[in-house]
Amino acid sequence: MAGRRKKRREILTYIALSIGIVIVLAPVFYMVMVALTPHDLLFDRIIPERVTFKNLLEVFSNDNIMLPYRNSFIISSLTALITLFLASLAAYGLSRFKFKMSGMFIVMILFTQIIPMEILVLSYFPFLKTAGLMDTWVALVLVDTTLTLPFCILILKTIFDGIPKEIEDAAKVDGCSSFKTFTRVTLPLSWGGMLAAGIFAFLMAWQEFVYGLTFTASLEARPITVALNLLIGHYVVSWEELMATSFLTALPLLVVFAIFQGVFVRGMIAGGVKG
Amino acid sequence: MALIKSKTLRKAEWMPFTLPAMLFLFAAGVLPLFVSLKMGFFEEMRGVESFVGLKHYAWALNQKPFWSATSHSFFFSGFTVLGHLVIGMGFALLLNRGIKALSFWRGVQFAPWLFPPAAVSVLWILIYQDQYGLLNEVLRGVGLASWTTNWLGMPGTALVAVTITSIWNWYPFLTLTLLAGMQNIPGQLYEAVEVDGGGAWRKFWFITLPHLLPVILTICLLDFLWTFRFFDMAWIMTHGGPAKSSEVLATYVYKVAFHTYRFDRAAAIGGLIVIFMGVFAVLYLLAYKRLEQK
Repeated sequence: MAGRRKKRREILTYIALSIGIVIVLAPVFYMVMVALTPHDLLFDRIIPERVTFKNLLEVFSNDNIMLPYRNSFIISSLTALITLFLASLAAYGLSRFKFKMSGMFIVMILFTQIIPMEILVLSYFPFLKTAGLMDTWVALVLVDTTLTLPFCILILKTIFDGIPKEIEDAAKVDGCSSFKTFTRVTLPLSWGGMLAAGIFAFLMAWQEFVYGLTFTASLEARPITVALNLLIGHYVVSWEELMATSFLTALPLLVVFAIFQGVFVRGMIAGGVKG
Repeated sequence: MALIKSKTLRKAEWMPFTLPAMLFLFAAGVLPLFVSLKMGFFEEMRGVESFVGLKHYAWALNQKPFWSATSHSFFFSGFTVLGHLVIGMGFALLLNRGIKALSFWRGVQFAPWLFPPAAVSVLWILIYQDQYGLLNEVLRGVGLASWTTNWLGMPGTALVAVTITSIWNWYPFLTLTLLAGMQNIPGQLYEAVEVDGGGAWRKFWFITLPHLLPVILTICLLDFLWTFRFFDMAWIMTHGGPAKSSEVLATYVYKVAFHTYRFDRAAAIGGLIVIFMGVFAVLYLLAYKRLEQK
């Protein structure tokens, strides 16, 4: 009797979960369907009679989309690399050494995490103009790193905190400096956290919009999010191409997430909850 | 002597590790914030900058658009966080019932978070589209044709439509953190309720919710601050319109700065935004401290 009730409860859980997920993913499904619809059948019905990959190919041959796509890849990858370098060192220092300023640093990290970009833009703008960095990848990498660094330090600090000091002590007895201990012992043990932080930094830089909108003007530096905004209402671009582009914009993130879900989720929780 | 030397050396050991990132955050985050805010107290006239005190603040506080943008921002952030909490809690509770293939279900419900806000905005512009958008299509399909409207083009619905979009985009973060919090609750506590004959509702009310409260508080305030500064959706979907009905503080500041080229006035509005957020940050820290003491 109790077993049957338990079974029923279990089935109800799966049904509720499925309904929830169908509702939540309906917009994504709709996006993909429109992206696959031939132009003459557009908005006839949600699932088209015929599917076509012409819209996607059209996007691939459009420089107004592909160049920004390339820019986003370069900007996000560089941001992720620089963030990983700075964040891992900083997190290690905060995790392993006791010093007076560490409390102040944590406060600063939490603080920079919530500064509104619209306010920073006011002083970034004249600075980048004077420095001659307007409309360059460098400018976006620089400002995006400010965005990614705080959360990544928090992720990695939690990861390093979880590695027992005794493991490192053995290396130190063997005469390794703290830096060597860090690169030879701690880093190899925390590849999961590093991966999570790297993915997170890439993702944040990839999704960034305000800075791209303000600091780029040409196809040579414009990120994909800004290119997408420019396509809206553009008479040459149709809805099915817009949906194809939108889906392509999310695709790298979907793929990376599908592969590294476990690592990434643990990292997010480490940075979000404990930080 | 040697002992003292090694001690001072050890003391400074954190520096090469932590200092570069901290200097970077200071130079590229904290300092620019103050440089920006400083602009709010100065005015440039024929190339000469002069201190004008609270002139721009007074200007901002006398602007009707400022106050409407403020109320829109609170509406937008408040309901976004509420939506996140409800949907995130729903999914977290379902995922926490010992289901099979947890990582699959957790991953699938996470998908919306991966879409860049710019792409999400474009998608939802089409969903809300007047003639052939999905929402109106569905409404006509279920016989509610009289409800169809130009969702983003009407002052009464634009802000709500943008808010729903931002709820959809980020609830997964709440699911993850709430689920992690639930998994930290010891199972024996639930067994005790079961022995007393308590059902799922009692378990949620007397065990899950009280244990989750610190997590909920932290994450909701952080979520609120993140949403409060959020610009992308209101900008791309409606540009703050129609008739400023979906103008939030983020888009308002941006327009004052880059459409009227008044960085000084924008900086003053920025100062007011910081004050609004500061109130929340203080609440956050106070609540956090109190819960930590317990």
